[in-house]
Amino acid sequence: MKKSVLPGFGLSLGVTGLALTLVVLLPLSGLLLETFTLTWPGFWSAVSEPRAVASYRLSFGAAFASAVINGFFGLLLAWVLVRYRFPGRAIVDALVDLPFALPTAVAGLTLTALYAKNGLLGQHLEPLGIFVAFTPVGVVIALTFVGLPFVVRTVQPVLESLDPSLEEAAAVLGASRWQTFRRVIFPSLFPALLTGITLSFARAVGEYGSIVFISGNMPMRTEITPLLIVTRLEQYDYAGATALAIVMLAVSFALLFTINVLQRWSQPRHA
Amino acid sequence: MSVEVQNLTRRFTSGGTPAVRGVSFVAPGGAITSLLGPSGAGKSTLLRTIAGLESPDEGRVLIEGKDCSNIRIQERGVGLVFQGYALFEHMTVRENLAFGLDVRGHPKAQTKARVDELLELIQLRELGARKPSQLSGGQRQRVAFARALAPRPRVLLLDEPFGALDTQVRMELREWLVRLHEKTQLTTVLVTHDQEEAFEVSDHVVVLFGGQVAQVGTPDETYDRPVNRQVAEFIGGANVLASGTVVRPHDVQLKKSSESPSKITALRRVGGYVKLTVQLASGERINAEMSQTEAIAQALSEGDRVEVLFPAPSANEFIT
Repeated sequence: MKKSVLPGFGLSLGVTGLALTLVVLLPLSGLLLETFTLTWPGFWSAVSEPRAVASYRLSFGAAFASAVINGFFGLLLAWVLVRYRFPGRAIVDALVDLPFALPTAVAGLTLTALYAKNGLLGQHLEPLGIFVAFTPVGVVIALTFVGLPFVVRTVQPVLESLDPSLEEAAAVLGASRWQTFRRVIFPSLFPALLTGITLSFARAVGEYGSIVFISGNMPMRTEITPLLIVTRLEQYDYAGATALAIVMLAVSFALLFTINVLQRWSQPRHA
Repeated sequence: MSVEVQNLTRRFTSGGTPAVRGVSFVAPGGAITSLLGPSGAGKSTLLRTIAGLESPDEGRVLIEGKDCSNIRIQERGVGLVFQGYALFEHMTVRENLAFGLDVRGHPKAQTKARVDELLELIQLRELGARKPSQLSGGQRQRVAFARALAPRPRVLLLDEPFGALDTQVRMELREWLVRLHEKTQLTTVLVTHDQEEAFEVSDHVVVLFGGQVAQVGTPDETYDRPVNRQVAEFIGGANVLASGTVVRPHDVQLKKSSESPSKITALRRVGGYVKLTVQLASGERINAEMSQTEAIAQALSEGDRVEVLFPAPSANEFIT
């Protein structure tokens, strides 16, 4: 290893390892140990029953949909905040962080009140045949709300530090505005955007508080996996609950790992 | 393919002091014209206005005699080289060079041939697949030149193109630019604060101070016949005496003499020559230069009294 002005690799790695073990590995091992009380067939039937499968589909499907939506609007919002000066910009900038601070249960309640049959928006949407509250659409909306700051806050600093002469060079070389965006700006933002989408997705997969209210928790239709886990716990089926948790954990880890690899690959390589 | 700037004014804040004020000059076709001045003189603003990146508050830019006011940046037919290279880091060298052709929808085969030709021109044939971050500063700047040349611009604009490079690479690239220009004969406007650079590469010099043109001429004219004290002092660091006489430091002759009222107040060796500051009887301080050999022969040192001889009056100029 190269000598650094800040030595202490051994010590810092040791402390990091200890902290990681206490905070992350220990609870995860507990989870695994609890599932070991199940037999293989028992485990399999717990994780593959139709109700569980439907909940995976909703949990991961809605999280994916909301991450994609956030990728688009988060990029747009970051762009507007960085590129334009308008009255109220500071307020919009502060509003972006609100989903971080707001208890998600409050967000869920508010969204439910808004989209319910007699709600402010719901009463106008329902006659049009658009049902939001207590449907998967509502789940996606709630997850989009919670995940938005991640994309904005990861893209914003990169966009701010983007050299304006790159765009000027592109324009002088004959590129239209769209070509400049697509071929020069977007590729520079892409790694940050991917990070933001990943964080937003991860956050959405783990979300619980807001969904409980807006989804209505109907088995097979609007029940997310975390909720099913809580249901199992309430039935004192600890092993069944942890089995579901293990599946969520494995899938989330596999997805996040894939995205990380993708990200490394998409970043400009340095000499 | 001349570039003409007519009565150009550009303000960055409404009502504030203009960065460029009533500037007019002509950069003749096929020649290299330097915009020379200290930082803040408005050189870059002028260049950016020619490129169309800034729009003038007053005045206009003509390329080949045609008013460019309503011509979009993309259609001006200029190539621009930035001081900070502004290469597209996520693209390879080849992709960078092809960019200006691709966005114009040139056929692939034609673009490939042009890129090959340009790589040959900048002597980086082997490095086409590299990313800009894998190149040295000099190589990156050559790529930036080639990228600007790719769409065959009518005018090449260079904004302090060698500013970020170390001295040796800068020298090499200057010579390379002169050879390149001999080959392409492209009308070129170069922004620089380095008078040596301006003199070495350009046929015409526009000296700018505070957003205004101070003097236009060939390098020799601006050196030999500066129009005012500012130009004289900026170009070649000339001494302007109270009498209005312009004396270049290397024209000042010093002879050791204990009787003389003039005295050396500072002496510094810079490689092969010596820079001196001499206080005259009148109290004025002037700069002088001589070879290291001569300084040793006379055994000059700080505090010595010296007789100061100015060259024959015919070699001097007078500024009123």
